[in-house]
Amino acid sequence: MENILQGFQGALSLIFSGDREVYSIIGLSLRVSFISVLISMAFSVPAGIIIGMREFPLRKTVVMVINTLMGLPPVIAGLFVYLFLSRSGPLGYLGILHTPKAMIIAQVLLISPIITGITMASVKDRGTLVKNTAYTLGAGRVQILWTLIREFRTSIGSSLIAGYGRAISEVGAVMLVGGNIKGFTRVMTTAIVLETNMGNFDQAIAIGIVLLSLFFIINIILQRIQGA
Amino acid sequence: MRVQVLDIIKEYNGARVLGIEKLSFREGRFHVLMGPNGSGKSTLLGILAGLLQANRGRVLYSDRQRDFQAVRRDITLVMQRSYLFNTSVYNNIASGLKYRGMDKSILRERVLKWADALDLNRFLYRNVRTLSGGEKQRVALARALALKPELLLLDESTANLDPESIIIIEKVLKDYQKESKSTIIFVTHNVFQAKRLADRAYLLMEGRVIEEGESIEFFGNPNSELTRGFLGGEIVY
Repeated sequence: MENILQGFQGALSLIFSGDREVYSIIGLSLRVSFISVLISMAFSVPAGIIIGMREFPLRKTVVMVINTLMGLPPVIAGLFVYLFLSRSGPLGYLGILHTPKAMIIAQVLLISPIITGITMASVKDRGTLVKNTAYTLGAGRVQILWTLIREFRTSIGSSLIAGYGRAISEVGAVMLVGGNIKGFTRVMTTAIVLETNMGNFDQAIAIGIVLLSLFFIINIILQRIQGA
Repeated sequence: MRVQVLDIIKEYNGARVLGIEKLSFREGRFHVLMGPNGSGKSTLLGILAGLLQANRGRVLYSDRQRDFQAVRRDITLVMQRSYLFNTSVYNNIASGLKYRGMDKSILRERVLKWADALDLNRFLYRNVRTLSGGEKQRVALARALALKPELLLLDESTANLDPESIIIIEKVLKDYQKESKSTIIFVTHNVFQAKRLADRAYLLMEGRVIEEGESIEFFGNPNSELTRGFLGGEIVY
């Protein structure tokens, strides 16, 4: 119990003293997850809209695969990316294993099914009606897609927030492909694991508090969006 | 805009829902389609609006016999429960004009004109979600009319509306027809409404045109037994 209390005291002083290492870890976490969501959003949202609204051969199979991948264990995603990016892997020549780029790839792989799945489910019922309305008003293809995004902004926003939450809280994949290198690929979750193992509870708790606070903020935003 | 329907067949899962050899809608006239549920009225409108593809046949638009893509932006459809975008009344009426990249001042002028005609001025900047069913349908009609369509398709657009909204919509439609010389095709179940509006009326049953004629003849002296039955309320729809 004493350890925990001391840990909390140390954590608060680390946060408020502006410890550079802690803040660099937080900054990298936010940056990597944000970029992952941006990249994933670019193709997952249109994919979700198309899969949700169009009939095509093997659609049911595609939906089943997406639903399965929504629960993809992060460590499996990490392993997959590791095998591809390792020196002997097909993309080993890129030399990006154990860099933030590899972490972004792993996170994109992890969150894309979530963003696609939520978008797909939201447009399934009313999507065709929105599309037909825009079409009869003379909208072109890009205008129809933009109209759909605008009309389903609440659920698409929720999917992005959910994706961000998943990306920033994930530990297995980024540990595998990032390598948890101090000052380079160390993010909040991997730092918590490391500091706990080393007995530096104040550092671990400090980062844990920030991560929890972030989740709290993410949830508030999510509730606001859903209640809009 | 003149519309010619030639040898159109539409099937769903092998079952024929529409089979029309030849049907013409003349320019500048108010056409009313009637018929029981499942008679193919909405399917025909869907094909004319480019939302449905016929299995066979063609639809030719204007005297120059153009296909749908060439005239797409001269046609619009108002559905029974029109979908309104989740934004203000103003933005909804402006939406089709924005798709056409219309100049802002002309856009505003058109929006205000139709908002005024359909008595929507009071809620111009309110979100459409706060409106009643009748008000929403008036917004949908204003949105369509703001585009100045040469062919206006209305699929039971006044069904289940309050009498005040029906009166406003009918008046606006008749005025628009006179002013613009546009072709209007209006689907309704309501025989009294059809009598009030139609220049020319059509009865569809089981995907076929049973009878068509000028309003006075069609309602006053129908040729077909089925038409007499339908107009007399013997055929339940």
